[in-house]
Amino acid sequence: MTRRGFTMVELAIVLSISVLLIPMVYAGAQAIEEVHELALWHLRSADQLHSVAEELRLDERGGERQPGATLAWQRGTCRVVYRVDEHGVLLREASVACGGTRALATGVTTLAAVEGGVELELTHVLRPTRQERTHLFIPLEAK
Amino acid sequence: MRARGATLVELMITVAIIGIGSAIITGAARQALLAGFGELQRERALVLLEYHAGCVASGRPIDDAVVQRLVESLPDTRVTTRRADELTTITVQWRPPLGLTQQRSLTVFDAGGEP
Repeated sequence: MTRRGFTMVELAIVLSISVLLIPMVYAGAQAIEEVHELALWHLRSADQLHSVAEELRLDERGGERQPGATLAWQRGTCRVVYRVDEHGVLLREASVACGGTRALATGVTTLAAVEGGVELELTHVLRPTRQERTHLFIPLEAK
Repeated sequence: MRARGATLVELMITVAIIGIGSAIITGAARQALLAGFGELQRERALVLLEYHAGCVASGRPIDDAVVQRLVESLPDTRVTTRRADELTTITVQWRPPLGLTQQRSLTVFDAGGEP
């Protein structure tokens, strides 16, 4: 007579192996997903650095920097203001005739005028307990 | 009589395949991370290059404090300038986390300032 099905010991072994493997596979998959997300965030940060540097440079060349803590330029009759909104989006605000309001970067926690340029801090939340930060410094032409 | 269950060799082969597969996936994920970081470094290097080029083209002096801030996250950065008549070629070299040393150059009309 052929034996049918599994014995209790076989089932117990399979279950024990599964209990050990499933958390390992889950942790591994999560780590790989985080690394992938981080790689994408670096690429996005590079792209954002390019856009912000380009816009700031154009406004710096074509306008006069306004005194004060706000990052603002006067370009002819246009007033251009850079600010970060409550969702962490860096905005370049201007009237429609002066290019309109545009979003230049996301995940921005700080935007500050420092000596010689502008510093941005970008933050990306990978999970509630892990945040990645990077600082981007963009020099401005001293006139 | 037929053998039942898996032999030790079969189990070892299975574990080895799983091990090789996870090593490949982990390696690829790490490469992607370094490539992404390398791209950010490349943009920083371009900002540095444009700063130098802007200074040379407009005759403004180069601010060491600004350069220091720009090279903070660029390991082994080297900026060289080469003049030929009215043209100045600025080259920025840096070492990315992946691969060989990278460099980018820009040639500008020299306004006569000291680079």
